[in-house]
Amino acid sequence: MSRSAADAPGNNLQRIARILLAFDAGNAPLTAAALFAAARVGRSTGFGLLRALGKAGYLRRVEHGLWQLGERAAALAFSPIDRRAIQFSAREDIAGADIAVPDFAGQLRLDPNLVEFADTARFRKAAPYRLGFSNASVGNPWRRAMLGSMGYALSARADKIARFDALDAGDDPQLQARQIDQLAGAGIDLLLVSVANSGSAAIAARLRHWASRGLPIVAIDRAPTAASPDSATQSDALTAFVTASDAFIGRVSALWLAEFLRGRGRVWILSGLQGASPAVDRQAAALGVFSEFPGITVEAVSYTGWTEQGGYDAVGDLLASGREIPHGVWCDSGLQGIGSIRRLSDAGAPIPPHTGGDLNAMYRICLRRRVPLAALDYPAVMGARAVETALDVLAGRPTLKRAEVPVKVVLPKGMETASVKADVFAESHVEWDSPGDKILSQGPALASGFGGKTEHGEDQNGGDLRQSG
Amino acid sequence: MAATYDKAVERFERLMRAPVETRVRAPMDLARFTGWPNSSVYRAAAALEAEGFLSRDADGAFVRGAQSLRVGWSAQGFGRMALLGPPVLAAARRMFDRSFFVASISRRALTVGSYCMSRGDSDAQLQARYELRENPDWGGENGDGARAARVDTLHIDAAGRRAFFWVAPLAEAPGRPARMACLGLVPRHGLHVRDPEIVREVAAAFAARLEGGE
Repeated sequence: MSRSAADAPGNNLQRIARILLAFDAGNAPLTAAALFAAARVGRSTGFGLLRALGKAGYLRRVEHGLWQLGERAAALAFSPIDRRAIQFSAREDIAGADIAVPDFAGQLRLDPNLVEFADTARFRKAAPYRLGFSNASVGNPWRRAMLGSMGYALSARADKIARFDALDAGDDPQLQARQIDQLAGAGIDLLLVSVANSGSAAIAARLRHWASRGLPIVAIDRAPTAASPDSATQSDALTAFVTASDAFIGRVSALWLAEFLRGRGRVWILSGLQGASPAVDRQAAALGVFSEFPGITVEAVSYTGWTEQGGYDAVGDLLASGREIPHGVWCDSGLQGIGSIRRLSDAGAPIPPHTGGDLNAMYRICLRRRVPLAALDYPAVMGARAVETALDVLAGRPTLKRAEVPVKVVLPKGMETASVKADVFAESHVEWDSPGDKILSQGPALASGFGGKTEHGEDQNGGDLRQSG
Repeated sequence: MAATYDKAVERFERLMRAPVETRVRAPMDLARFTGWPNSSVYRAAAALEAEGFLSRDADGAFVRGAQSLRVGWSAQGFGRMALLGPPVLAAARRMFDRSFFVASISRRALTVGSYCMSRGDSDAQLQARYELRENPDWGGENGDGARAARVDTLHIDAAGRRAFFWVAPLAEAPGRPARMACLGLVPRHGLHVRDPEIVREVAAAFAARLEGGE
């Protein structure tokens, strides 16, 4: 390495980060030599950095030439868990204020799975790593956004990743079971997986097989657990599961709809993909809420495959069966919600209140046409979180078995109800200048190089994506 | 050469302060905050993102990353708090619509870690560190193991006026001076008689995990 490259600002910042990261959870003292090894620096640069960090209070020297993290490092823990955009109170004359709302406090108890740690010490090995991703599908904009988020994280941590191979199962569980063998058999260090069907015995069997052979497996978005309500049980094969609370999404959106309808009316349910854990868990939570309102009738339950066409066709079928326009349409995502609105619009019908976010087009059409909406974006940024979790697992760092990415409640102004308040208003969340198929919760993402091909079974990267250091 | 390393530490400090002091949607915002040229800010941010000290949230904004929190809590002897804090705080806010934080107390210093503000408190500002007006009668050097289910008030000076937080102890780290991890609740104006009960309930949910894992 040349002198100029070694002294580049980024290099010294990474060395500082690596020195600080060398300490364990209890801040046990380390020798200078151990810190030099962690930062991959020689004695001269190493002592220079230690002295500077000590002077600034990030490190402190303890007896016998040992170092510990100092008081200044403690301040690095100071951070909001999210940013909340709204800073004023709701109106008083809001929907639902005049009806009896069931007490859901019991359902909001702290989930013990949220504080369960994974055993990662046995997976510890030196970077760079080879990762494989068995992806259920890239068949809708959310899945492509999640893959883009994953791509951004891979790119940002390129020096830790030797190779990343992703295969698309096209929502076919049997194909995915074979692809898991293909990836795992190729000698990857860790398998990322988002399963096509949560109840698939074939997928579960392959994951258990590879887990029993010592392969760490991190699930994302869709976990291989059959009929488990949200976070209840998690496949033993999984080292960790990166997701968001589907029960929260289902419960809050249903509560909003029930309150917005003042506890009375006919509701159609348009779920995503039958058998996929987010669809199962959101629907179960929503049905649980609706059942608490005697005046609410769930008139139909349909599946849409989380596509606009699926939503369009499902509503078309319901209209063709002679049903009247419902008072509300509960969608577990705007991916199909946009299809529902377009079909109702094509029928010349008034558009009833809808739920379901994610898609920029859903926000745009609801705001333009003043359709009452409650949206809880399922965060596609979990793609990046899954990569970070994978790297933590392979570094042997403590990791939560179930890592939930926060979900925001997005409502247009004036649409809050007695129990459901906006974290952010749709008017400031929507991106009028961005494409309609943009997913608004994906964070930064690579626009190309990921998910370019959607044919089943094809490599999603158009070849091997090498993330060289 | 010493100046080179001092400067590197200064740059590290400045970049790590940015996400908690301002809204940073893009490297350009970092350039405005630091006053550095775009190209060097981009490289520096990329370096810290690569190490997990900076991260990007669902809106694409820079936030302090998981490794920053881990180092911060490890420095206080509670590395696991970096992982336990955020989900517990989010769930607690969801349950009670109140503002919570996790912190540590050593002597008369309160060092705040992760925090979440409820909608009703979103205009309130927390600081990274407070000087306490007096020692709490649990934790710190007075910790005696009899702190289970204790809830107390910690009096602070905030923005030039007296204030207090409701806090419950979670775990004690070994070492001198002793350091106690705690859960805090930001009180609202007026009397909220359930506050101590709320703090106790949330603290009980994860204190055992923290004690067992260090």
